[in-house]
Amino acid sequence: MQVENLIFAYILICISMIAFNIIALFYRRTKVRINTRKKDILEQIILEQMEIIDMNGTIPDSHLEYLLKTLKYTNNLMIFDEALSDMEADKSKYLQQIRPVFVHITMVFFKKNLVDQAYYAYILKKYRIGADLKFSVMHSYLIHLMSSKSLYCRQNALLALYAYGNAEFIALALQRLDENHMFHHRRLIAEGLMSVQGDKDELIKELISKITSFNPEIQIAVLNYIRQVSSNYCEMFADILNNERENREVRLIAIRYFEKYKYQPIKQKLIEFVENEDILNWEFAAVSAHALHSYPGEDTVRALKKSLHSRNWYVRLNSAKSLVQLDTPYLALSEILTGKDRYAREILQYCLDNSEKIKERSESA
Amino acid sequence: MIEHVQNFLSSVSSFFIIYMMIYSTFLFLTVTVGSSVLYTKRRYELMKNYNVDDYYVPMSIVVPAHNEEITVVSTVISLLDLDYNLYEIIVVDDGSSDKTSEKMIEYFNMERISKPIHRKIECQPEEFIYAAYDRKVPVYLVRKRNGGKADALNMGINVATYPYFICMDADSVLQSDSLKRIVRPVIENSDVIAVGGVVRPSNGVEINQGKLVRPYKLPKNILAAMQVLEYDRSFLASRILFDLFNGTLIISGAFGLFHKESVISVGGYDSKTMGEDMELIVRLHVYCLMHKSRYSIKYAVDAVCWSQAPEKLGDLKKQRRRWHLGLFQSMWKHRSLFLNPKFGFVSVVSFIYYLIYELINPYIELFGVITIIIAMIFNLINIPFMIAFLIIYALYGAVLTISAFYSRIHTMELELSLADSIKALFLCLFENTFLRFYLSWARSTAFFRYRKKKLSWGKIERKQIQIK
Repeated sequence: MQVENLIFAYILICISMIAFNIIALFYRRTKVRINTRKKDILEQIILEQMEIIDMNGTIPDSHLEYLLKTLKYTNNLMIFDEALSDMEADKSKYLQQIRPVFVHITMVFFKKNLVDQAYYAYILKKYRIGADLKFSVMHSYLIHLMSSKSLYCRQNALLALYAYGNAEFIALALQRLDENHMFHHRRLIAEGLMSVQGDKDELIKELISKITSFNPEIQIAVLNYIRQVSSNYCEMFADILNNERENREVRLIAIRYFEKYKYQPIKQKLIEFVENEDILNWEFAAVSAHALHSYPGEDTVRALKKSLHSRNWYVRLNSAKSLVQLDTPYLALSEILTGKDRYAREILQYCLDNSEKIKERSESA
Repeated sequence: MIEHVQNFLSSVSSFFIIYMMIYSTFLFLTVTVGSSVLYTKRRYELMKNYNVDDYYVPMSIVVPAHNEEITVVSTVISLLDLDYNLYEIIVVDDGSSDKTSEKMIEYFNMERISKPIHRKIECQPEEFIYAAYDRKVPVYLVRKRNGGKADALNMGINVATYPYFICMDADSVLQSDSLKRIVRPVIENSDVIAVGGVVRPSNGVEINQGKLVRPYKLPKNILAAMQVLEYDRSFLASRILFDLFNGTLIISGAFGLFHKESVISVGGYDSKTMGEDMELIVRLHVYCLMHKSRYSIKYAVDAVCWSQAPEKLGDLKKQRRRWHLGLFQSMWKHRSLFLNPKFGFVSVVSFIYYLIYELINPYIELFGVITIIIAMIFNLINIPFMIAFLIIYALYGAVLTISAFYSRIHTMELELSLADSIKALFLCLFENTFLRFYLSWARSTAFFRYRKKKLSWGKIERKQIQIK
């Protein structure tokens, strides 16, 4: 009897799943048809409003009310986005005039689920709604999302703030991120900062004003960004590098900064790192060896030649690369190339051969 | 005597009822959870949540190859078409006896280089290294003494420049967005040390500049078509469920992303195991759990790799035997995981599932067949009832399979022709009955053909992949 019950249970599940599959198939097809029709209607409505604007008119309140009722639903907002995206005409005046609608629907999206919230942040970014304002409820919304447990909410909010280009709010967003101890990949922050429109110096000033309060992950991202865009912070990076209590990776970025922007007072420090054979500090030696190609001199060549014999692969490799990049004369390298240390010899020879090939390729190009 | 047989058969039937109930419940859970995850991800996609795809984590793509002269060049061409900016390609020719290296060198106009290799993991020595720098990304070819796939992967890891590496097969093709999708879990969570991609049978599929050419068609070959359905049910569904609990025990060797230093910490791939892909994942779990490290091994359901499925029964049998042996070796090597609460979900759920429903399952089914025969001999079986039960059970499996298949079709926004839909429906039933039993038999005989030093790659007939 129990086995028969089991069979009936299986039959019931089979029927339910078959029904689910059929319903899902029809639902999907119907939804596509309905959404397409809705989009066409909305497109027409928007075009009519744009014509009014083109004749130096103002959008009627009835249209704003219509948008207010419609766009608070995420599905309709997506259709609205599709409709706008399909239009080639300039939408800026239209978006400017319907901005009050977004002020209201932002309040609605504060209460929605994470996926919808992330989508709304994407819309704010795409159309830069409120970007020209010093402060608005949209700014509050985006800052609020920085406390979200969803990476995608936070990321879309950051992207929107980057698009707005308001340095104060970007710094505030990172501060909020830091306060909530959420993991946010440093590449997302650093590379996202690169996309910021507006005054980069102002942004850097804002970020530096808060940098000591950031956790190392965010510090690293911010410093990487500064490294990419400005050579005006040598003293700040020198202080970081000289502070032995500073986070290891943060100090390594400082070394990379000095590779990109030559700062003579730091040269001796880099040479000391390279010459330090402490195996626990191999990263400092390796990164410094790489950076020293920007600091030509006999002392540099001497230090790099010595570090070719390091027990650490990366130190040897970077030392060889730098020696080659410094166009060190063959005579100065001959003792290594003919020496007993096979590892030093091989790696130096490889870098020399590689450099020759690069030259040949660029000449033939 | 009859009484003893009756008691025996009664116990066996109770065992099988419980066994099949647990499996059907598991199957139901995996398909419903798997489908739900797919639909949720699709929704995330449509609602522009995944705005992390323009941020590149540098990676090395390691392609171990052995006698792959037919496919290796087209595979590398497809890798150069990927929508990703920061990567390198390393083909490791594991002592091929055909023209694998020659084809690579000639087509890509490669030059010999003297790149020193940082040997972090032991492997067979290299014979030569070639490089091509005039492509979108650097392409390296390392020819080495034959040592097996695991050994070739270890060489690739030694040569790799970047902090993450992808392992893939030389007869596989990635979609243009595969790297972006497989790297997402790494961007989401700093604890992620490995990510598995989804492997789909490429038979009958056409790829144009890294994109699937639509309309999507089921393979013409019936065996390959059934494997499409099987992959969706087994690979997709169960792996998604385990993924939710950090219980993934297998990342396919055809497409997986790994944090290089983590793999080096555990000693790289084991060249003595046939199932080196599973063995590595189990070892990573053991290592991290023993060291109480925060870690995560994830599954990227939308990172797709197209790989050739065997089209002949003989090739399929060889493949499944190899997988079964690999499974056994991995589980035996890490038998300390068995019911060991120290290892949490991995031990108590994942390991037990693979032990009972994958490793021992063929023998359990064989045992079931034997008991049915015994029952028939002693006339102790209600044959119509038994047939009805088996039909319902097969139908149940078929419905779940078709649900998994369609959830994938819908979420990838693929259109399936009416002919293919009908074909899928019929093949589901066939796959859940005849093919299942055939594969059970093949797996159960895996050990009879096992020879200890068989570090072979497993030959199956290769066809040129359709790439434009």
